[in-house]
Amino acid sequence: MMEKIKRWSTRKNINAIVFGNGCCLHGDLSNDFHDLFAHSKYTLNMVDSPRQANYLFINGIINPLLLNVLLQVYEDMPDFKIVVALGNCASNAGAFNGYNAMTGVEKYIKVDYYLTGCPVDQRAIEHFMANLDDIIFKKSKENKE
Amino acid sequence: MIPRIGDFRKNSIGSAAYKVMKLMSTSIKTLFLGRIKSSAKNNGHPRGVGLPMLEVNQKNKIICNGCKICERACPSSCIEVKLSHHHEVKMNIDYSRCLSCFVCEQVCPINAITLKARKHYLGGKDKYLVICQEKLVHDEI
Amino acid sequence: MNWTFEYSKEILVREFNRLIEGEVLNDHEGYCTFSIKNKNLHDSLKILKERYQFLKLVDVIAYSSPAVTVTHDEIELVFILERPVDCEIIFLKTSFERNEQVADFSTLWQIGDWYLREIFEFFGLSNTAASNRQLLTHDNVKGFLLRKNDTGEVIKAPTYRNAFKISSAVVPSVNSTQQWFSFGPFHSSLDNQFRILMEIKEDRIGASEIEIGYHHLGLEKKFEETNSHGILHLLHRYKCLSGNTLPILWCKTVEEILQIPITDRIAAIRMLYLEIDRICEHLLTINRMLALTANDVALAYMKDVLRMFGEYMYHLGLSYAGRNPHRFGGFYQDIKRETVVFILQSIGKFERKVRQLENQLTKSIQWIDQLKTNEITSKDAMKYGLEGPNLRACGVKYDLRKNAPYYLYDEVEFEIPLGAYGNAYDRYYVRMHEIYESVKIISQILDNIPSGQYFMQSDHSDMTEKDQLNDSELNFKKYDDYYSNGPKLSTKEHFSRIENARGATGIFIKSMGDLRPYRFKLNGPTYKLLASFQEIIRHDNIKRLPLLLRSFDINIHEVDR
Repeated sequence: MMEKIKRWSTRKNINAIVFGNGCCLHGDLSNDFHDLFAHSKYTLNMVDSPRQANYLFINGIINPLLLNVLLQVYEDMPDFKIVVALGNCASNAGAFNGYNAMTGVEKYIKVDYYLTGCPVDQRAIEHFMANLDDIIFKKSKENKE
Repeated sequence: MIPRIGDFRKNSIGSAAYKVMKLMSTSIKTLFLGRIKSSAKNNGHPRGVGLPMLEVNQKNKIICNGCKICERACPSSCIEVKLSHHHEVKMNIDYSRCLSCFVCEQVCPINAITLKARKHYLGGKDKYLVICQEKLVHDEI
Repeated sequence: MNWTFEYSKEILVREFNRLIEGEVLNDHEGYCTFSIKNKNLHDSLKILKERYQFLKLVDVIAYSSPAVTVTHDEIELVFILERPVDCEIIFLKTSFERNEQVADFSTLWQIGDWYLREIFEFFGLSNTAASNRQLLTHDNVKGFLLRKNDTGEVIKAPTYRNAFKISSAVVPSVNSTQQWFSFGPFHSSLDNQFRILMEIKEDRIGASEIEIGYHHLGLEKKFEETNSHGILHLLHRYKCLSGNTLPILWCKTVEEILQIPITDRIAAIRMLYLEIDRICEHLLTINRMLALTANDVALAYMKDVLRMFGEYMYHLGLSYAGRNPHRFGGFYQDIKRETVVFILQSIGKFERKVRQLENQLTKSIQWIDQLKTNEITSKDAMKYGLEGPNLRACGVKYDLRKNAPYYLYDEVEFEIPLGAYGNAYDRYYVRMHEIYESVKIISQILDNIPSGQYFMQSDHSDMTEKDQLNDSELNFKKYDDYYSNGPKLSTKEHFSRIENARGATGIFIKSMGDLRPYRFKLNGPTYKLLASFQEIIRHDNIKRLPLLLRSFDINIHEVDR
């Protein structure tokens, strides 16, 4: 019964932090993102601290130096977290695979969803919102075990 | 616009209401301005970002003849063209490197490769790394 | 002070030859180069700065010299200096062997410290000031990466830098017993860009240190292996808040190397793109500054303005999902008549909305109070190396569009807004008024677009269209050569600049007659800002630090390439 209430409360609220500096979105999630979420059944909250957040959006290319910071942020987040990699740069290094760019973060962090495309398409975000319920359901089942 | 005792000594409801309206002016303005239409639908490009696909003639065979110009012109080098004997062409494209820059479409001398939006490959639980020949041609709905 | 010196180039060349032995080469159009021996480096820099008024150090570039044998390994340095009065540029060349040390020029220019550190970590040349700390690389990097012979290695595992840990023994301390705080890269006002270590004395910032390198990709090494077409398309996607200036700048350098003439129409449309870019960036900085205040009405106005501006960008094909319209010699497609009419009809409404926003902001005393931070005098600003609107907010009238005009900027009327005090309010004010000036330029351009071609083919290869490809094999070969391999760059060193929304961006390229550049360097105005950032934020109140950081408009992708 408590799990049902927990699941219901986490399903509607998106407390998000954005990590990295990339060009898919300017800084905080851009206006298009906010508008898309405003017309759906979710409420999007941009939060400053990882201790209050459930969702982590990674955009931009990750360095070995930046990876250290990302791991600390990941540890600070509470147990129920969903990690989304935005854009080609965060999933693979994209087109900018110089010597210092890491191709993917999977060895250190479990990433739940990849949004590929350079830049990210709006239909992909709608697809992501449609699948969001399933992801949350699976995650809560995993956490139980 | 902080109301003081002198304002209320005037003993008229009108002036008090006027002061209150001035105080609430910012919140009233946001009420009217808050309904800005979302720009998402207006600017939705029908043909903005796409992923490369090979074109097919009437016999369901690919037009591509393997001249490899698109492979050399691609800025992120994500196309790989393999020529086997019997002049068969096999192509692998790495979608996670593709920039959607439309160069391969402009450069191809036969117009054998185009960019179209493919819903299936826009996101998912895995990174789609390399897409092989058969999936490049058929469009899944 | 010697007030009676001549500005002409011939006299400079003659006198310089008398003082310091060296050769003079006059290869480039307008740029004269001096090549000197490395023991005279400090003296010649001092003479050029103090006697001939070359006050600005634009860039310092190092590359391993092309004539290399097994025993002999030399590294060449190129200094680019500029005289702000008449915008004349000089190259100064020296060459060092591996064992020698570079003379310390950070006494003349404060930015020199960072250049010396970069030269050490990428090439291995030490310097007399012994500033050896890592700037862009980290502990997992082995070898000197930008040399042509040795290829280094990068271990891809999470690291940190040992030299920047916070313990009072390791961080260079200024005689104080206060505590050091780390304002780390994950913070909303920093936009996850860099890290500040600072010492706080009762609400004021004392000494500080900056750590960068969190977004270093190794772009220059990658560009040495791609041809010029690839670089063009990659730079179009290397936006990160700056849309069109980098592809236009690259097209400009390549066209000046290959000497492709440009019609007036191409120049006018490129100016249009640059001004739209400038408006976009200024609006985004002001938007970020507004997000920290609690002014709801202003935020709503700002959202409206941004939505309207987004429509302009969509019609011009400049939104994020658009293709790259820039090519070497013009554009891929011509500009449409409907977009011109649409923009001209609605640009008055756009300006009125921006004025509405400005009126709303100047009414609120809270906004003006929040932005009254420390003031920077104009002499200090030139010493720190500020550029762009940050410099104009301190009262120095220096703009590349007026002092050294390129394209058609001398035929267009506009003014340059200046600030008086150099605090954060002035930086906001200058940016706001530059939007109005850009709107003026856009309306003047769109009223009188000159007619002509929108694409000029380069002379040495008759480009064939797709219809003529089947006519002969030679046509196909030329088509193949041009599009797969790119244009062949002649043996040259070239440097060209453009005025960005943040200052003067420049690209230096050295090519050896090949398809690929031998050395490519991107120079951004934020580099010099961060190099002297320690002095700028000293004695500032820490409550105002987030707004102060956002008022400077820092873009880390010009610093960590």
